[in-house]
Amino acid sequence: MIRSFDLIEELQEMYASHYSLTNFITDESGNIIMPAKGNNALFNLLLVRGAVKEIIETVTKEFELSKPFFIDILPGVYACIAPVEGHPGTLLWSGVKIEQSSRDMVKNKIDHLIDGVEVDRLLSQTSTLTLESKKEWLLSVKKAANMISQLKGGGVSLFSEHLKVLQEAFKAEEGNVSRFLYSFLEKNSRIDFLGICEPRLDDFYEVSHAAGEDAEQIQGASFSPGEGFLGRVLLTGEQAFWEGIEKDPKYTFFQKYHFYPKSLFCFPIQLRDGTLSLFFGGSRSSEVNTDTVKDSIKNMAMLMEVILSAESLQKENSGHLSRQSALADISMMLVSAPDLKKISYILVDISMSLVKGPFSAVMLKNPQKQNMMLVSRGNIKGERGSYLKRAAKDYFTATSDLPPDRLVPSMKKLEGSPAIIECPLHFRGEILGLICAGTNGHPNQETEELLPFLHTLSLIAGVSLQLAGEGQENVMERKIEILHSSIKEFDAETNRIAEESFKIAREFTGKLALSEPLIKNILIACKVHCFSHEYLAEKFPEAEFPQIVKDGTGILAEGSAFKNEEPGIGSQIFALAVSYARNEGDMEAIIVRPYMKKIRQEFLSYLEDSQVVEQELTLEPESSHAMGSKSVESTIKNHMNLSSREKEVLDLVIQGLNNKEIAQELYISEHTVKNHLTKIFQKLNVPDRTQAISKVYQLTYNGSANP
Amino acid sequence: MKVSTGIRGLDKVLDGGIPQGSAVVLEGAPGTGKTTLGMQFLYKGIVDHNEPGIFFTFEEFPDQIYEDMKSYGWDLKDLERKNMLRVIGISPDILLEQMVANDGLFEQLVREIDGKRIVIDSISLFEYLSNEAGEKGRSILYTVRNIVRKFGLTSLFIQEDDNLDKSKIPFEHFIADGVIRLSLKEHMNIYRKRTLEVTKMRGTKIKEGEHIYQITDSGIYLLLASQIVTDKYISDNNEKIKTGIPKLDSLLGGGMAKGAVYMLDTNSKANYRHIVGAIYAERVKAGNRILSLLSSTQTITELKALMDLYGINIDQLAKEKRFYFIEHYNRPFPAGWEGSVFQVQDMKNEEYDLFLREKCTSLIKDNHEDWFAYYDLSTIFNERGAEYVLRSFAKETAFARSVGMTVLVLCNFKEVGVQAASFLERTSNGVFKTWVDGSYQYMQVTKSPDGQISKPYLLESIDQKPYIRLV
Amino acid sequence: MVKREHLSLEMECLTLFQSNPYLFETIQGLEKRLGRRMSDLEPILEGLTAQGILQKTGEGALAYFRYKEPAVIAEFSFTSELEPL
Repeated sequence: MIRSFDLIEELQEMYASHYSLTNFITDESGNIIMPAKGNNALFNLLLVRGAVKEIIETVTKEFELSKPFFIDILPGVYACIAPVEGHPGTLLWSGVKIEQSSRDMVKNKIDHLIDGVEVDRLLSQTSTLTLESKKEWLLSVKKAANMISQLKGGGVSLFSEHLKVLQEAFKAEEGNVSRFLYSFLEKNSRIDFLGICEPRLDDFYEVSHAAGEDAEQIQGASFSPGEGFLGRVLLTGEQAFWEGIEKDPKYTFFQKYHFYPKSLFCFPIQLRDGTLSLFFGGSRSSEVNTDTVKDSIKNMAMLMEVILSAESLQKENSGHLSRQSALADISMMLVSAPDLKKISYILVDISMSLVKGPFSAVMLKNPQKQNMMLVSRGNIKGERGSYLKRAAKDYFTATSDLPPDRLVPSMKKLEGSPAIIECPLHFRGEILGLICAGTNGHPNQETEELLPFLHTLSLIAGVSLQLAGEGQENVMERKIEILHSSIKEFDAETNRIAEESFKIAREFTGKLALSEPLIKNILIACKVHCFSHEYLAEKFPEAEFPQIVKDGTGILAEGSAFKNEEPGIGSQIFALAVSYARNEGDMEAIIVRPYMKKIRQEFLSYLEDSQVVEQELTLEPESSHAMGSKSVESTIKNHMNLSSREKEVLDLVIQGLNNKEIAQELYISEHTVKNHLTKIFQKLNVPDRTQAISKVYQLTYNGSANP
Repeated sequence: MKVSTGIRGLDKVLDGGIPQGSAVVLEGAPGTGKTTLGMQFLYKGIVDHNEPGIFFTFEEFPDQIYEDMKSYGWDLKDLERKNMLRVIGISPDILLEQMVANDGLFEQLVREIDGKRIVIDSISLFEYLSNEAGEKGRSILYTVRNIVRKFGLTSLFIQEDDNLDKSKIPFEHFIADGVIRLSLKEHMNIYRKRTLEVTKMRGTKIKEGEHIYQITDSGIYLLLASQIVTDKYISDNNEKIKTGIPKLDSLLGGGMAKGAVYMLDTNSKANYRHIVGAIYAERVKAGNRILSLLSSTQTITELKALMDLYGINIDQLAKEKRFYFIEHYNRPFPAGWEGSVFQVQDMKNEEYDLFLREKCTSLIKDNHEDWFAYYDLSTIFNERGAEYVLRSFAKETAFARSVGMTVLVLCNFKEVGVQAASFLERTSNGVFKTWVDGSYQYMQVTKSPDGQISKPYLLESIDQKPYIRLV
Repeated sequence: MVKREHLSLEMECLTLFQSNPYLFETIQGLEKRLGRRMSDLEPILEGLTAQGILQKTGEGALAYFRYKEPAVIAEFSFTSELEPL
């Protein structure tokens, strides 16, 4: 669990000051776990005098709450209580307000109950509970409780959900893929079918796995590249999301099998041997269009890739049966390992125990900083140490993507000492770490045999590292999101500045050659610009954005000077973005500082350009893979030297129809369709259908293909 | 110095906790929650009192325990990383050897985290050992107790209940400073009841008796026997209202507590018409306003006939707005009753909820008189679903209490299932149960706010009002 | 070198000690806990001990094994000295 008490306090204070209510949090035994914040004098008085204690007890003991509700602390004096989701029994209390009609009664009661209080003043400070304000109050308490729930680590994160799926998948030795599909379905209510397509020997593709109600209808369905929605992804090689697909001509593919999805997505998955498989799915009832669903789908696709790769490797390895069950055990352990350190322990022990050499070391890249974590067994001093540094440098500092053959384990033969196995850990081509395991001698068959095993291991390790890394980053990101959303809740103007500066900074930094981490830090700084840098530094001691906020705020503050060294580029961009947002996009008003001439100029010219671009964009909508066939149509119409009939045929080919369907559509024979196609291929100077489609896409999206 | 057990109720039973440095035997049959209680003792010790602890397990793997305890929200691995906890998997013989050895593993572990509490799960396995000095089984336990005392550790020794000779006091009870016993009993043939009893504890006074405990989402929760006896919240309010059935009133110490919620648990064969009729009649006579939820079987005509029997003119009451009805079945009602009958058949659950909260609340609050409600929960189960009942019933009863309205709820526990029944039983302040066995009908008070529980009585029909009596 | 058929059992032991860093167990105890033969376990445990993955304390029947954490350098750079923390 994340301990974010400080953030919860912050939230409580913001809530309290915004609504002039006092609030506190109780646990399942009725203990106050977060003390009261706020200046609601009446509620504070009642709290101090113990008038609320019994009510807390009663509510905690007797009520089983799922929704926020009101309770009268005294007759006519109301508090609003909301359960904190994901933490049974935890309640957020906020109060108090008085019913207008009860004011006199309350006055008497308090007079009677508590001596020496200026009741009139007290009551005049307490706001009135009206019918309209009731609803708003409920809503605000509910929102605050939701934020607290998130801070307390309530709810299940995508991260842990996917770990569970992965764990389940590795439990079974056979039929991984189908199990996997079904457990995905179980965990994602917005998706109701999933499937995998794999190539057949005859260049056609086939739906090899399908999961979900009625999805068996399309099991075994085959199609050629370019045909239907799925075939299209084979050509473009890009993931795609489609919505409201019933009207699309490509829909006939599904209709043929009496399967009627409403929305669809499809991801290409490239396996080690270069073959392409497809992972697809969707919903028969709803549009899969929310970002959360998309994120979840992307995660699934990424895991699917690992599963399929591991499966194909295991098939190759099937001779070594004893290893398979061992591998399943190890995989289980890797995916349930909570953190990077634990994963590296597992990897160093396994490599040590497999290779049985003099040493083994696992190095994990730290993306935030320019260093890494090293976990080792055996002696790694002296010559071996220098070797490790060289190897790490070699793998970790490569400027471009490593070629595929460098992503598999290999034997490194060293002059005068025994060979070393190098096994890179990567995810989607990005190097995350490296295992170096020393052997006892020259490469022999025995050690060679270990390589495929290590390869599979490295695949699973790669995804585990990725997930664990995301898990750690998520903690920070979630905290930031909470801070950000608390601004949204309580201060509209500050929120506007945060959002606008974030937006412009994101666009602008995209044009500059900056490192990913720096960009990320600038963007975070924009989101939380209104918090003091001391506060941020205290809450995020490891992070770099508090410094950006500090220097950036310095830049923005009139008259502060940076004498010795000028502030970092990150702070300068932050200052520009915030200044831009504060002045509501008025370019004249953007701050001027002597040391910022260059970057300011770049910023201004970016702003000018982007305004032009925006205008252009409104004329021609930005292309996307989910884009309809309209602009493809116009490409065909305008750019191709084809007869009108040929254009029609090509248009239908692009829409994913096969020859027979085209023939039906145009009321011509299949033979005629073939004739047309032959001519089209000639004119486009392409050998086949696939290339023809690809050419149209190139023309549409890149605007450049040699006719 | 007392050491809190991490279970509030148990601390109360122990008058504050276990005396520091005690070695306490925790015994019980499998499935009674010994390991959970043991771990809760350590976990709460760390989290609430900053006292590091060590858990020795002879049969389970530590990772199994990490996993099991996650369900209570306890992140044990995190505490291990912070050097506040160790879950040690070890064989009894090794532990024994390492406890006796000079600077052995045991001492190292205690020193390493500055341990204050330990749990050994379970000492039953010591019985099969013999040590170098030739000591066997039980005397080993004596050695173990002395060693943990030497380190000043407050210890729980978990002991499997072998269920053998109950008449003999086990040896462990003599050498331990205290004994806590967990049991699992059948309760009223419906649910199993878990009870905890402290049979011995040196250096503290204890509340005797079997206390009921539950294994909840956040660990063990103990309800003091004395807590059940007086429901303080209700019984502060001493006003009693009569049921119209004299014997029942005397069983209840004078009548139903005002503002309390009573459940009438009836099985399908039992005739409860006269019980309900008698109570209605009595309440009307006492000048209460009545809110009645009509069931599918109880039509207005039927109710009218029943009330006529008791000499109550329901027609007049309805017209005078002293008798209100909640109707789920859109059946016709007599002229002049408009405004007394709430037709709720078309309301969705949320609307119904709102209706109760707003319409009924204002009705009751506007009439500053005493109210009595009859609520046929079976109808709500049928019409609104179990989920609705489970979600809203506690709120509704709390509301009734807050306005001082006495409520009689009709329900069939057998029909609604164990879980729902147990929830309803907990939520009500009192429970009457009536059932048919053979050719006799019985009635029993199984729960009441002031702790009175009666034996089963025969329910006998008589010729005059209230037409029934308890024998 | 341990025969390949033993790989599975070796991994089993390894995962066991990895997930239970505070398991202190004799060969006999492991035989019971894992349901494996002592004669199979012995060479594996000795092997893991020789590689420094397990630590063996004591002799004879009461000798017990436990997991030994690997060396960790939390912030290692291409230039830093290799002195484990």
